[in-house]
Amino acid sequence: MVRVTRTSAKETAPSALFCLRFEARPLRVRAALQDIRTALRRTALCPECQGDLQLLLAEVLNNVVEHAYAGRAPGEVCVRAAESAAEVHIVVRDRGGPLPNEAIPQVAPADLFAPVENLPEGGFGWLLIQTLASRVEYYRSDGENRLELWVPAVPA
Amino acid sequence: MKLETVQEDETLVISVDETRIDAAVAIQFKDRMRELTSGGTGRVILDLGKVDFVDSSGLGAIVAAMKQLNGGQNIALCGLQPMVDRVFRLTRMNTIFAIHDDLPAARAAAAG
Repeated sequence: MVRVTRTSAKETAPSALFCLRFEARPLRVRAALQDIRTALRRTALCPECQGDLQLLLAEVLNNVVEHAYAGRAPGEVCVRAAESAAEVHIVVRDRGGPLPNEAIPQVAPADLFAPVENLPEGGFGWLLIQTLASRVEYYRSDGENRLELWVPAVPA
Repeated sequence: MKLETVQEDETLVISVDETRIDAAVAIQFKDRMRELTSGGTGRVILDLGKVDFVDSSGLGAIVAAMKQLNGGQNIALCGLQPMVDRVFRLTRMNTIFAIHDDLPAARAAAAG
Protein backbone atom coordinates (compact mmCIF):
# COMPACT_ATOMS: atom_id res chain seq x y z
CA MET A 1 0.00 0.00 0.00
CA VAL A 2 1.34 3.43 -0.95
CA ARG A 3 0.57 6.23 1.41
CA VAL A 4 1.10 9.77 0.29
CA THR A 5 1.13 12.06 3.26
CA ARG A 6 0.72 15.81 3.24
CA THR A 7 4.27 16.17 4.55
CA SER A 8 5.95 14.25 1.75
CA ALA A 9 4.02 16.19 -0.88
CA LYS A 10 5.18 19.43 0.71
CA GLU A 11 8.80 18.30 0.60
CA THR A 12 8.84 17.63 -3.11
CA ALA A 13 6.70 20.39 -4.63
CA PRO A 14 8.08 23.95 -4.61
CA SER A 15 6.02 26.20 -2.37
CA ALA A 16 5.45 29.87 -3.10
CA LEU A 17 7.19 32.23 -0.66
CA PHE A 18 5.98 35.56 -1.99
CA CYS A 19 4.80 37.32 -5.11
CA LEU A 20 4.90 41.11 -5.33
CA ARG A 21 4.20 43.61 -8.09
CA PHE A 22 4.91 47.33 -7.66
CA GLU A 23 6.11 50.49 -9.36
CA ALA A 24 9.91 50.60 -9.63
CA ARG A 25 10.76 53.51 -7.31
CA PRO A 26 13.34 53.55 -4.46
CA LEU A 27 10.85 53.84 -1.60
CA ARG A 28 8.59 51.19 -3.15
CA VAL A 29 11.59 48.86 -3.28
CA ARG A 30 12.16 49.55 0.40
CA ALA A 31 8.55 48.73 1.23
CA ALA A 32 8.71 45.55 -0.87
CA LEU A 33 11.87 44.46 0.94
CA GLN A 34 10.06 44.88 4.26
CA ASP A 35 7.24 42.65 2.95
CA ILE A 36 9.84 40.14 1.76
CA ARG A 37 11.51 40.18 5.18
CA THR A 38 8.14 39.44 6.81
CA ALA A 39 7.44 36.62 4.35
CA LEU A 40 10.88 35.08 4.91
CA ARG A 41 10.39 35.09 8.70
CA ARG A 42 7.52 32.64 8.22
CA THR A 43 9.82 30.15 6.48
CA ALA A 44 12.12 27.54 7.99
CA LEU A 45 15.16 29.19 6.38
CA CYS A 46 18.00 30.08 8.74
CA PRO A 47 18.49 33.77 9.62
CA GLU A 48 21.68 34.00 7.52
CA CYS A 49 19.88 32.59 4.48
CA GLN A 50 16.99 35.02 5.02
CA GLY A 51 19.49 37.88 5.25
CA ASP A 52 21.25 36.82 2.07
CA LEU A 53 17.94 36.65 0.20
CA GLN A 54 17.02 40.16 1.36
CA LEU A 55 20.38 41.50 0.24
CA LEU A 56 20.21 39.71 -3.10
CA LEU A 57 16.70 41.01 -3.79
CA ALA A 58 17.68 44.53 -2.73
CA GLU A 59 20.47 44.50 -5.33
CA VAL A 60 18.31 43.08 -8.10
CA LEU A 61 15.39 45.45 -7.44
CA ASN A 62 17.66 48.50 -7.07
CA ASN A 63 19.18 47.65 -10.45
CA VAL A 64 15.71 47.68 -12.01
CA VAL A 65 15.02 51.14 -10.54
CA GLU A 66 18.44 52.65 -11.26
CA HIS A 67 19.28 51.04 -14.60
CA ALA A 68 16.38 49.30 -16.37
CA TYR A 69 14.05 52.29 -15.92
CA ALA A 70 16.80 54.95 -16.00
CA GLY A 71 15.72 57.88 -18.16
CA ARG A 72 12.19 56.57 -18.65
CA ALA A 73 8.98 56.60 -16.66
CA PRO A 74 9.12 54.01 -13.86
CA GLY A 75 7.16 50.93 -14.81
CA GLU A 76 6.26 47.83 -12.91
CA VAL A 77 8.53 45.22 -11.46
CA CYS A 78 7.28 41.80 -10.48
CA VAL A 79 9.16 39.51 -8.10
CA ARG A 80 8.20 36.03 -6.99
CA ALA A 81 10.02 33.33 -5.08
CA ALA A 82 9.37 29.67 -4.46
CA GLU A 83 11.15 27.28 -2.15
CA SER A 84 11.92 23.62 -2.73
CA ALA A 85 13.88 21.32 -0.44
CA ALA A 86 17.26 22.38 -1.77
CA GLU A 87 16.92 25.91 -3.09
CA VAL A 88 14.96 29.11 -3.40
CA HIS A 89 14.09 30.09 -6.97
CA ILE A 90 13.47 33.78 -7.66
CA VAL A 91 12.05 35.35 -10.82
CA VAL A 92 12.18 39.13 -11.33
CA ARG A 93 10.47 40.71 -14.36
CA ASP A 94 10.34 44.30 -15.61
CA ARG A 95 9.70 46.16 -18.86
CA GLY A 96 12.64 48.59 -18.67
CA GLY A 97 15.70 48.71 -20.88
CA PRO A 98 17.79 45.56 -21.37
CA LEU A 99 21.04 44.79 -19.60
CA PRO A 100 24.06 46.06 -21.60
CA ASN A 101 24.68 43.60 -24.47
CA GLU A 102 21.59 41.77 -23.18
CA ALA A 103 23.89 39.81 -20.91
CA ILE A 104 24.70 39.44 -17.23
CA PRO A 105 27.72 41.68 -16.52
CA GLN A 106 31.06 40.07 -15.79
CA VAL A 107 32.31 41.45 -12.49
CA ALA A 108 35.64 41.33 -10.76
CA PRO A 109 36.25 42.00 -7.06
CA ALA A 110 37.58 45.47 -6.26
CA ASP A 111 41.32 46.07 -6.37
CA LEU A 112 41.95 46.30 -2.64
CA PHE A 113 45.53 47.42 -3.13
CA ALA A 114 44.51 50.55 -4.98
CA PRO A 115 45.08 53.89 -3.22
CA VAL A 116 42.09 55.00 -1.14
CA GLU A 117 41.14 57.69 -3.68
CA ASN A 118 40.78 54.98 -6.36
CA LEU A 119 38.55 52.67 -4.33
CA PRO A 120 35.29 51.90 -6.10
CA GLU A 121 32.06 53.46 -4.83
CA GLY A 122 29.92 51.32 -7.11
CA GLY A 123 29.93 48.01 -8.90
CA PHE A 124 29.26 46.10 -5.70
CA GLY A 125 25.73 45.20 -6.75
CA TRP A 126 26.44 42.55 -9.38
CA LEU A 127 29.35 41.26 -7.31
CA LEU A 128 26.91 40.61 -4.46
CA ILE A 129 24.30 39.08 -6.77
CA GLN A 130 26.76 36.66 -8.33
CA THR A 131 28.31 35.80 -4.96
CA LEU A 132 25.00 35.13 -3.22
CA ALA A 133 23.24 33.24 -6.02
CA SER A 134 24.39 29.78 -7.04
CA ARG A 135 22.98 30.37 -10.53
CA VAL A 136 21.73 33.45 -12.45
CA GLU A 137 19.97 33.44 -15.83
CA TYR A 138 18.80 36.42 -17.88
CA TYR A 139 16.26 36.48 -20.70
CA ARG A 140 15.16 39.42 -22.82
CA SER A 141 12.09 39.03 -24.99
CA ASP A 142 9.14 41.16 -26.14
CA GLY A 143 10.44 44.19 -24.22
CA GLU A 144 10.62 42.27 -20.95
CA ASN A 145 13.62 41.52 -18.74
CA ARG A 146 13.44 38.29 -16.82
CA LEU A 147 16.14 37.51 -14.29
CA GLU A 148 16.06 34.10 -12.64
CA LEU A 149 18.15 33.35 -9.57
CA TRP A 150 18.72 30.27 -7.45
CA VAL A 151 19.94 30.40 -3.86
CA PRO A 152 20.70 27.37 -1.67
CA ALA A 153 17.93 26.91 0.91
CA VAL A 154 19.59 26.51 4.29
CA PRO A 155 17.17 25.55 7.06
CA ALA A 156 17.50 26.91 10.58
CA MET B 1 19.01 60.71 7.21
CA LYS B 2 19.64 61.30 10.90
CA LEU B 3 23.27 61.35 12.04
CA GLU B 4 24.25 62.30 15.60
CA THR B 5 27.70 63.62 16.40
CA VAL B 6 29.76 63.87 19.55
CA GLN B 7 33.24 65.44 19.55
CA GLU B 8 35.43 63.61 22.05
CA ASP B 9 38.86 65.29 22.18
CA GLU B 10 40.43 64.52 18.80
CA THR B 11 37.77 61.98 17.84
CA LEU B 12 34.48 62.77 16.11
CA VAL B 13 31.90 60.05 16.82
CA ILE B 14 29.11 59.92 14.23
CA SER B 15 26.20 57.64 15.12
CA VAL B 16 23.76 56.68 12.40
CA ASP B 17 20.27 57.01 13.89
CA GLU B 18 18.60 55.00 11.11
CA THR B 19 18.02 51.29 10.55
CA ARG B 20 18.98 51.32 6.86
CA ILE B 21 21.64 52.85 4.63
CA ASP B 22 20.22 51.82 1.27
CA ALA B 23 19.75 53.10 -2.27
CA ALA B 24 16.94 55.41 -1.14
CA VAL B 25 19.21 57.41 1.20
CA ALA B 26 22.78 56.72 0.00
CA ILE B 27 23.30 60.16 -1.56
CA GLN B 28 21.86 61.92 1.50
CA PHE B 29 24.19 59.90 3.71
CA LYS B 30 27.24 60.77 1.64
CA ASP B 31 26.34 64.48 1.60
CA ARG B 32 25.66 64.60 5.36
CA MET B 33 28.97 62.84 6.04
CA ARG B 34 30.78 65.44 3.95
CA GLU B 35 29.13 68.27 5.91
CA LEU B 36 30.05 66.67 9.23
CA THR B 37 33.66 65.78 8.41
CA SER B 38 34.82 68.63 6.17
CA GLY B 39 37.45 70.79 7.82
CA GLY B 40 38.06 68.18 10.51
CA THR B 41 41.50 66.98 11.46
CA GLY B 42 41.22 63.99 13.78
CA ARG B 43 39.82 60.53 13.80
CA VAL B 44 36.24 59.74 12.81
CA ILE B 45 34.32 56.81 14.31
CA LEU B 46 31.18 55.83 12.42
CA ASP B 47 28.88 53.93 14.77
CA LEU B 48 26.57 51.66 12.76
CA GLY B 49 25.04 49.98 15.82
CA LYS B 50 21.47 50.90 14.91
CA VAL B 51 21.82 49.97 11.23
CA ASP B 52 20.51 46.51 10.38
CA PHE B 53 20.74 46.76 6.59
CA VAL B 54 23.28 48.18 4.14
CA ASP B 55 23.00 47.47 0.40
CA SER B 56 25.62 48.06 -2.30
CA SER B 57 24.58 51.72 -2.66
CA GLY B 58 24.93 52.23 1.10
CA LEU B 59 28.29 50.50 1.05
CA GLY B 60 29.40 52.75 -1.83
CA ALA B 61 28.33 55.78 0.21
CA ILE B 62 30.36 54.63 3.22
CA VAL B 63 33.40 54.15 0.95
CA ALA B 64 32.75 57.63 -0.48
CA ALA B 65 32.59 59.03 3.06
CA MET B 66 36.06 57.64 3.68
CA LYS B 67 37.42 58.98 0.38
CA GLN B 68 36.15 62.50 1.00
CA LEU B 69 38.09 62.82 4.30
CA ASN B 70 41.12 65.05 4.13
CA GLY B 71 44.68 63.74 4.51
CA GLY B 72 44.89 64.15 8.28
CA GLN B 73 41.68 62.27 9.00
CA ASN B 74 40.93 58.58 9.18
CA ILE B 75 37.76 56.63 9.81
CA ALA B 76 36.89 53.55 11.82
CA LEU B 77 33.60 51.68 11.88
CA CYS B 78 31.93 49.98 14.81
CA GLY B 79 28.78 48.11 15.80
CA LEU B 80 28.24 46.20 12.56
CA GLN B 81 25.15 44.00 12.83
CA PRO B 82 25.30 40.56 11.15
CA MET B 83 23.82 41.52 7.78
CA VAL B 84 25.94 44.67 7.60
CA ASP B 85 29.07 42.75 8.52
CA ARG B 86 28.19 40.23 5.77
CA VAL B 87 28.08 42.92 3.06
CA PHE B 88 31.53 44.18 4.07
CA ARG B 89 32.95 40.64 4.00
CA LEU B 90 31.34 39.60 0.70
CA THR B 91 32.81 42.67 -1.03
CA ARG B 92 36.05 42.41 0.99
CA MET B 93 35.61 46.01 2.13
CA ASN B 94 36.23 44.64 5.65
CA THR B 95 39.92 44.65 4.67
CA ILE B 96 39.82 48.37 3.81
CA PHE B 97 38.19 49.71 6.97
CA ALA B 98 39.25 49.51 10.60
CA ILE B 99 36.24 47.73 12.13
CA HIS B 100 35.58 47.38 15.86
CA ASP B 101 32.94 45.42 17.75
CA ASP B 102 31.45 48.42 19.52
CA LEU B 103 32.01 52.07 20.38
CA PRO B 104 34.14 51.45 23.51
CA ALA B 105 36.46 49.20 21.47
CA ALA B 106 36.71 51.84 18.72
CA ARG B 107 37.44 54.55 21.31
CA ALA B 108 40.13 52.40 22.92
CA ALA B 109 41.76 51.81 19.51
CA ALA B 110 41.62 55.56 18.80
CA ALA B 111 43.27 56.35 22.13
CA GLY B 112 45.91 53.66 21.74
